[in-house]
Amino acid sequence: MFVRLAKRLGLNSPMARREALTFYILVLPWLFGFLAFLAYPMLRSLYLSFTSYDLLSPPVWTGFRNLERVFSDPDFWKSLRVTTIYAVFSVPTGTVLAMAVAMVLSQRLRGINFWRTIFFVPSVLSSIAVAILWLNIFRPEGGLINTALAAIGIKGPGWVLSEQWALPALIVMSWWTIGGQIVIYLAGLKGIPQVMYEAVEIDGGGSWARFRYVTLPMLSPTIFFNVVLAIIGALQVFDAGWVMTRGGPNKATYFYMINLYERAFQFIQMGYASALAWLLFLIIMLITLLVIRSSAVWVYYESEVR
Amino acid sequence: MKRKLFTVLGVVALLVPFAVLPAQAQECEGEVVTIRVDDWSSGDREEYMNQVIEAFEAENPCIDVERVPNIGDDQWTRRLTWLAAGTAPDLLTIEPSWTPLYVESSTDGAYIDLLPFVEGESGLDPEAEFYPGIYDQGFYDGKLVGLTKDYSTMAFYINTALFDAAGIAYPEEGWTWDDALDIALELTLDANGNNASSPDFDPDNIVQWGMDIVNDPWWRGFLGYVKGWGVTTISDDGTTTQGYINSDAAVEALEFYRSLIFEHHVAPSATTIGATEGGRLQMFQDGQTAMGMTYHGPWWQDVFNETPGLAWGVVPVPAGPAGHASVVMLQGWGITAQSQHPAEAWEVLKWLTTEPGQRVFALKALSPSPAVSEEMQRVNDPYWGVFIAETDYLAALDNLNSPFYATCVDTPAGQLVVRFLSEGGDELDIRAELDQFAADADACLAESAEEAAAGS
Amino acid sequence: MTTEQTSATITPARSAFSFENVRRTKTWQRGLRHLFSYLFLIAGSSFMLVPLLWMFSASLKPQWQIFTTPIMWIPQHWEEVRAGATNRMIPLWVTEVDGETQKVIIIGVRRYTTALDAANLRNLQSAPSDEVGDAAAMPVGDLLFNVRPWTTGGVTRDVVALARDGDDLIVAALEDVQAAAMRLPLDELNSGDRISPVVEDVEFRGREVEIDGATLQLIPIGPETELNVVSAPDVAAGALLVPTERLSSAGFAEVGETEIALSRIEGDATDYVVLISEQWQPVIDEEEVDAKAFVAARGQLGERREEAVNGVTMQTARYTPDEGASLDVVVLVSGTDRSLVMPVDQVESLRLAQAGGLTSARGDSYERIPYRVLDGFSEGEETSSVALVGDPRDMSLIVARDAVDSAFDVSPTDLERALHPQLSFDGFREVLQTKIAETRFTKFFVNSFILVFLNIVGHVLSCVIVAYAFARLRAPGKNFLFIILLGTMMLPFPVTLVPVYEIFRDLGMINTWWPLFMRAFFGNAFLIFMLRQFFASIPRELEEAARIDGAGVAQIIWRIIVPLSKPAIATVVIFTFWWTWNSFLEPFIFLSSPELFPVSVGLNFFKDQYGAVYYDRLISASVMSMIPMLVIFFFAQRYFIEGIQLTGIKG
Repeated sequence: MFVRLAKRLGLNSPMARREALTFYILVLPWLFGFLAFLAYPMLRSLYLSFTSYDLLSPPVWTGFRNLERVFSDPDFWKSLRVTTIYAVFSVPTGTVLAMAVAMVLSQRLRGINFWRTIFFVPSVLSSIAVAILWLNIFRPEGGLINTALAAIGIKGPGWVLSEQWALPALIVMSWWTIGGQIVIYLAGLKGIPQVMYEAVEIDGGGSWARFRYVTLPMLSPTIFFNVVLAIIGALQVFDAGWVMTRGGPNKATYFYMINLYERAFQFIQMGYASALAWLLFLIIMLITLLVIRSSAVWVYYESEVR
Repeated sequence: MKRKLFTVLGVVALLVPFAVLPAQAQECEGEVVTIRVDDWSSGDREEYMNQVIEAFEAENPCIDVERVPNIGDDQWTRRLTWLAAGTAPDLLTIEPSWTPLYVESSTDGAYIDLLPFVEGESGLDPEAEFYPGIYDQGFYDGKLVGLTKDYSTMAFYINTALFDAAGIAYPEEGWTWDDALDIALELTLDANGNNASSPDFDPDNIVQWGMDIVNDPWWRGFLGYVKGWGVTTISDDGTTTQGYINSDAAVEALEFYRSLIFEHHVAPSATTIGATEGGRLQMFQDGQTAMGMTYHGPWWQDVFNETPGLAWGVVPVPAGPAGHASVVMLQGWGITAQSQHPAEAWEVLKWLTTEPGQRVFALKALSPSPAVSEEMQRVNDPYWGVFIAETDYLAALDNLNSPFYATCVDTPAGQLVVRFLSEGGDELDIRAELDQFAADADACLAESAEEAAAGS
Repeated sequence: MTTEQTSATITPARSAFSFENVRRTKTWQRGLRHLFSYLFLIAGSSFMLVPLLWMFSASLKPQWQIFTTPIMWIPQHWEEVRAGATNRMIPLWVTEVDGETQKVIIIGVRRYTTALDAANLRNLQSAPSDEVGDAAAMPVGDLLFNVRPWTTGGVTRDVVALARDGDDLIVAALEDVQAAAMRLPLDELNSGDRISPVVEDVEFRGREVEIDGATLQLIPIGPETELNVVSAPDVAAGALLVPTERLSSAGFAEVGETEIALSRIEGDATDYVVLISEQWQPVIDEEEVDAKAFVAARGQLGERREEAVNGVTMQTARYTPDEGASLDVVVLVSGTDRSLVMPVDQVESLRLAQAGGLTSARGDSYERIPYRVLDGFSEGEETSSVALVGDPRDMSLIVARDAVDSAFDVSPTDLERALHPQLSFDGFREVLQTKIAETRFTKFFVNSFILVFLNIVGHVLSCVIVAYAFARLRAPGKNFLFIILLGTMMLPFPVTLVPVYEIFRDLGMINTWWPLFMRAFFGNAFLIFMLRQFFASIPRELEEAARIDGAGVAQIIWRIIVPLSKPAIATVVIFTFWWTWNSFLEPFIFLSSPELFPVSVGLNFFKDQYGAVYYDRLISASVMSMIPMLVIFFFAQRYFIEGIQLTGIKG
């Protein structure tokens, strides 16, 4: 029976069959983990999103009631707005800053490892420690930033304690952990053959031309991939908002994930929370697809010229 | 080679439970029963809790008491999680704001009725063990759902050094909110040294406030205040707030409270307090506020005692137009319906809330036990005594009139009042806002009652 | 590296198109560009490093110094002077006197205000607010007035506003105000009864005060000024400690260039000046408690008396044991029916300590009688563990009036704390000593390390095996599975959060570590992908040889792949360490008992508990939580960087 099935799959020799069997035995842990902790939960969560479920009694099918509630809930729209603003501001600024640092570093300066280490250190620290650090930096009275501003005669705002400035503060803070991106862009830049720059120089192009016609196109696949990752990360941000502001003041930093967490684990509305999770999933999918579709316009793959 | 790998795996798998499960050591002849206790204590009080439990375990070797620490702002919703996830400890906290919600949101009523235990073989005499007013707070819906561990009343903390420097006598029982305003006017100073009653006073540059305000949206803090103005916020049958929370007295009370900030400039707005690290507690410690109403009872005493150079005292709550009145805050435990060992849980509960436990807890808390309070000479103490004296002025808690008070009135009302007290609050029409609030709250009460009826 | 020594030189060997002339003209431009590049890097790395340096320096400061303006980068400590024979340290301040800085101690504070005698006040006028300018404090002789210019009918006059009357101000000309004005201490003014004096039909808020035998109706007009009375530090040496209740007020006296409140002790005609009044706490060495204290039942103790023991007033009683002779005991901790006592004649180390220094005492008990103990209580160079016994009491440090002859007034703004550089490890010490919910902060570290270890074991075992299969073995459906594997790297985790919680709840694993490491044994997409890429680069020939020798898959993995992949496996270890150490949301959701918390959740918990008040501890705790990651990073930077590069390039 097994042999017949194997043959139909094109495994004619016993060796090949044994190899396939070994393969499946070896990937079994991962496969099991995938099915039990990813595939099943995803389907389960899809099902739960159409139910009312408090973990105590079995889920009750409520159809689109959860979605109706989500869409009529001002907290949902607030959280979506906050998260969108966060992503729209932190992702492009972070990308530009990381690229700028990487490009400066790639100019054969002295001590590149030294600089790279400095820019990367903050990224290895835990988000909680970082949140606590910046909470103190942003402290309105005596905090590092406001003290520095006061020294040049500016009265700093309340930062994370102020409704208006809390979100900008978190965006500024997100720049502190762009080290990973810098490392990636640096590697990407190293991969660009020197020849291409010199070709531009021969054509009489300046720095801008080198950047526009060599760096940007050659780096675009890396940029593309990182922007996608950064967007996904920004939409799921939780730790900083939770530890620093609890989504406050007055929901000014009420990120999507804070809403989801509160619904699921504080108010035990598991069905509602699953609907939120799936909406987030669809939003992320949609954005990823959009970026991929648009990438045809701005991402340059080397294979195209080959 | 494979075998080696699996050996490693096996060893790890065997080791893990030891790392995860706490070790147990007991000398009990029968079977040891573990009773888990929801515990919100921190700091020294946590040590006291340990000592009380240790003593209990020494006398009851067959009962192992496990503390389930549950502290911070999340503790109230965490209990809901426990009830839902089926992991509630045997002894679950009761608190009048939340008990109704816990009871109503659980199919099994969350807590069991304790009366059979009180009257049972291993019972207790409620009149001897508890102040009657405190014992009564444990009833909900005709059931005794819990017993009190400790309580607090409201009072005013004053910075005696600021009073002394200005030569102002400390307030005494019988003082009124108008007196409080007079004092606050003299103790509020701008950067130029002008007090708030001076025509030269600059309200934009205040360096010392005569008074602080309750700025967190916890309605109980404000409820204690409006009681002094004769306000009840909900009808006795719990169906309507119309004519109660928007009564003339309520409007007047809140307008006076707001005027302290925006008209008289003697108190910081909720926005100002919120923008100060450490909030009103820190402002008082730093001598930025001269006095303030608190429901934190003895809990702030520790912090004040440990603040170098802070001279402070406690005085009674000022009387409002309707006389001197306030409300109580308390916390205790009930036995959850999920408990597998209610009889043993009762033994623990009894130990914690009556003399054996109270003798220890009362070191840093107001005890519901009259005997313990007397013996510790708390009644005439200049700090503790003020809080105890306040029990003579307690108004009934509106929270218990309706299971939906917490969601429909308590939480939104707290948020609304904080809006009145925040920057821009002076532009709100308190009467109109309260009218709207009463309409919303009534709709919410009706809807909740309907849903509950449909559910059961 | 050597080819990169001079920034202006591009290695010619690499380039086929090196035009000397092009490069030479551009050399100066390149130099300029490099200058800007370095400036940019310095600015950028300041942004990265300054917060971190601030945090590290803050963790070594005493709490009060953390949020000072201007920022102190070097931890400093207060300079203090000892008060007499006590263990109380009095802070030293620096002020400038006649252009010379001088160290002083504060011996009093007084507030003064300007008040008007209602009987002498006349010529009040009503002025529309818009005709009157802003007030400015103006000293006239001893007095301070808020003077405003009033322009009416083209003439401008100096006036003082006395009250508000709707849109108008009630003002009087400066000369008229001066005639009725006096400067007096605020406490003297406010000790009078409230009255509402009426002057020329205007009602004022005022006080009736008796001054030099005359009863005056006074109207305070401000501004109020605060003055600190200071003195040379050497007077602290003569300070005495007395119970505050024994002091009585003895009026005021001119001392040096100021006036100061005097006190008397009952039965002593000397005038004293109170330096500080505060709470003091009787303490006794804990060793002595352990050695000599015992428990007495209520029935065994006679009537309580107040009596001085070692100079400290304590409760004493006659103790009559069930057997044996009775003796006098001092009550250390009073319980309702059991008290902790010690024989009076054996007491040695009982003394008073300033209560402000007794923060963070821990709870302890002696035969179930609870009391508080402070470890590391320092008096001068000596450090001991002391038990807090008896009740705190109000005590005053006083000095004889004659000792403060050199006292003078200083405005509080002209005083600064005297400081000297000193590292403070208090924050760290407190963190190590503090127990939150029965759990020491160090326990969180142990927990994190165990979780990290379990996850590393899980990831290394599972990922190596799975990655090998994907790298080497052929099987139908392999490509499909590989695409799924890559797909899961992009999957947003929230979508599985609720069902995963449900699964572990059904398995009864909520509030255990299982959910936090079990899944590591099922591999991780990113690490599998990374290892696969690495394995694919290992020449197959090595394996072929082993296979011919009859080695099975397990042997090939163990003997050939693993030894050759040490750097890649190191990356797996490092990344697992990194992720596990820093993960927050999952442990936060799955754990509720603090004794199981890893550092991240413990730190958040610590913040909720202590963050608002004890931010020095919070900062020290954060720094401690960072240290393992920083150490790992500096030793294994390569693996971080290589691993990251692998994720980032094209994917």
